[in-house]
Amino acid sequence: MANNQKFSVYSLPDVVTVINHPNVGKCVLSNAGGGRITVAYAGDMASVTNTATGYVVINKLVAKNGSISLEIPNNSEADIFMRKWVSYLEKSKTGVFALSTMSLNDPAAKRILNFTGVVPQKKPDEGYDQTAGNRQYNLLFAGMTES
Amino acid sequence: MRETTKKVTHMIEEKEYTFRVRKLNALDGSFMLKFVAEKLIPLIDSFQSIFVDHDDDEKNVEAVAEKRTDAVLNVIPKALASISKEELYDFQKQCLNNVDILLEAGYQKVMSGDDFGTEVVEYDPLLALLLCYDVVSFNFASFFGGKGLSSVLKLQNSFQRNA
Repeated sequence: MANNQKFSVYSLPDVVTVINHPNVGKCVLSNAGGGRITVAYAGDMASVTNTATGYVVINKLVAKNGSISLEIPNNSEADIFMRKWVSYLEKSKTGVFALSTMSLNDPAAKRILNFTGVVPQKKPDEGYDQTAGNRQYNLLFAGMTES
Repeated sequence: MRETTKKVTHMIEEKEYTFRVRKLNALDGSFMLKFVAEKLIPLIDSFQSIFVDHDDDEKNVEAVAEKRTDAVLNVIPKALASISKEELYDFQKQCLNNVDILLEAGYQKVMSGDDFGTEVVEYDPLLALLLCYDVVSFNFASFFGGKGLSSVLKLQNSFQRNA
C-alpha cells in the first residue's frame, strides 16, 4: 500500500528561539531574522581509565555546559537586539552578567531545549560588504535541560 | 516640535518601571479610534455600575456585595461579549506595539509584532491593560477635549441622553 509509507517532517522556520535577559529584554530570534543555530556540548559523557595490565574503568562524567553559535544577518532586528545585549553585558555589573536564558522550541520534534547562564564568548566580528552578511554570535551556556 | 512620546510609570511588584508611550500614526490611529468608539466606550460605560463609592461601602455592606455579584454575573460577561477574542488581541497588540519599557540596558519594545519584548509585561495581563489605557488616553486625549477617557465617558453619556 502506497499510503503506508512513513515519513517525518523537519522545519527550521517552526523552531522558536528566544533569548531573554531581565535587564535587556526578550527577543524571539526566529521571528527577527535569526538563522542557523548550532549547539555544541563542551564536555565528554564518559572516559576510560585503563591500567598497564589492561583493566578498564569507565568514568561516567557529568558535563552540562557548552556553546551555541548563532548566525544572524547584519542589521536584522535580532542583530540589533544582540548588539545591545552584548554591549550591555560588557558594561554591566558582574551580578547580572550571567542572567540570560535561551530557549529553543522545536514543535515538530516536540522538543524544548532550555539554556541557562548564557553569555557571549566574544563579540561578533564586523564585516561590511556590498550585501549584508551573516554575523556569527558565539555564546557559552552553563547548563542545558531538555524537556 | 510635536510631542510624540509620553512617559508613564507603573509599580510592578514594588518596583517602579518607566514606560514610553508613542503616538500612533494617523492611519493606525483612526482605526483605533473606531475600535474605541464602537467597542470600548460602551464597555467602560457598563463597568460604571461596578464602581462603588467608599461612602457606600461603610453604609451598606449588603448592597455593595449585591452590586459586586451583579457585576461578576451580569455586567462583565455582557460587556465582554461584544468584543471578540481576535478584536481584543488586535487592539492590545496594536497598543503594546506602541509602548517601550525602560530597562537597565535602555528602552525595549514591549511588543514587536506578535512577540513580547519583555517578561515584565508578558505575564501580567493587568499591566498590559493599563498600558493599553495609557496608549488610548495619550493618543485620543486631545481628540476628546484633553481630559482623557473621562471626557470620553461623558461624551458617551450625552449620546445616550440625546438618543
